Amino acid sequence: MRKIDEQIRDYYSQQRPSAGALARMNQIIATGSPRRSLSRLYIGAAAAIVIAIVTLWSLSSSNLTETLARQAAAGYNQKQELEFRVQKYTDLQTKMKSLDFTPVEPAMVTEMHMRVIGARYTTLSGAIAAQIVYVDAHGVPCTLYEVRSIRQLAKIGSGERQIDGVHVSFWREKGLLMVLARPIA
Amino acid sequence: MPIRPIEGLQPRDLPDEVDALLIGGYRYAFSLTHDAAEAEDLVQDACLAMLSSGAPWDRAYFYATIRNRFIDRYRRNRRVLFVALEQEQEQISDLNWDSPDVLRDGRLHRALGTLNPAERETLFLAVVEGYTAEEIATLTARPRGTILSLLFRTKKKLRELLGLT
Repeated sequence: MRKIDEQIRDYYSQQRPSAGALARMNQIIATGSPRRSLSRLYIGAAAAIVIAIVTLWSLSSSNLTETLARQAAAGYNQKQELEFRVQKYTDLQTKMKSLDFTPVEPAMVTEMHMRVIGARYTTLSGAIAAQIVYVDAHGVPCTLYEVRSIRQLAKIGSGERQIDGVHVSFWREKGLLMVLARPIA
Repeated sequence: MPIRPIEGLQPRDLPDEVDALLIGGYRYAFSLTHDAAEAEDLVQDACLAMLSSGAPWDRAYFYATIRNRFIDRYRRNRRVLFVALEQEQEQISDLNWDSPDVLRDGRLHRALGTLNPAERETLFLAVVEGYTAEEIATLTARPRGTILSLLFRTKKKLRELLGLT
């Protein structure tokens, strides 16, 4: 017989982040030092790149699609404040300089008569990504993620998932992985 | 690169202290999510948020940031998070009972997974971190009486889930 509190403490003391995750977190903190000379955005983007490099190695492809879908759905539901509000897509290509790729407008945007509202930087499974908000022809907001299709992310195929009331679609276009999150009709 | 100072620490102490902070933060996040991958994501998000806000790297801020990120991330997903509680204070007695080994056979893990995030969080902060009810009340923005009541009910519920009643 042992005291229950002792067992609860032992249980939580056994919980540790993976070595890769711990390294990522240390890197995030380490990159925060020279804040006087760098903008917050630059620091965030640099940290995201570090996360991307380490995370892409550590994630297994088997659950990567689920992880991406869950993150995309959560991002859609959160509706976080946009860093850039624009009238047309080309403005994003000019403004989002901290990405490690040039965002491209997918063909479906035109086909579905979607209108861009704005965007923000984010990470998708550790990789720096553009989170772009559109409204469709009916005024329903949709969130499109664009991220470089490299390393582990290159293994993601086209597909669809439904999570937390959000329909998430994956496809590859112009060298980028596209992830679209929209409400389930 | 040098790390921004953590209050009360010397630079030479930082690597170990930072690891301890991150691991502690991870365990707190795990108490909220009961999922290893989600806990890692949560701590990572919290690190980015703290860098963005310029908040000091101390445990109280870190835990509060993790908690806020958890709420931000899941509240809109319509998950049950923190249930409303009456504010009465209940008599707390014998909360630390003798128990057979429920850790090794996985019963404790399953029982904790059945608790809701608020229950696990309170249990973690009180039992593992040694926070007082007053400190938990400050962190979670709830009345102290509510915390005491929640802790009592959580222990009672845990005992039932473990089949020890």
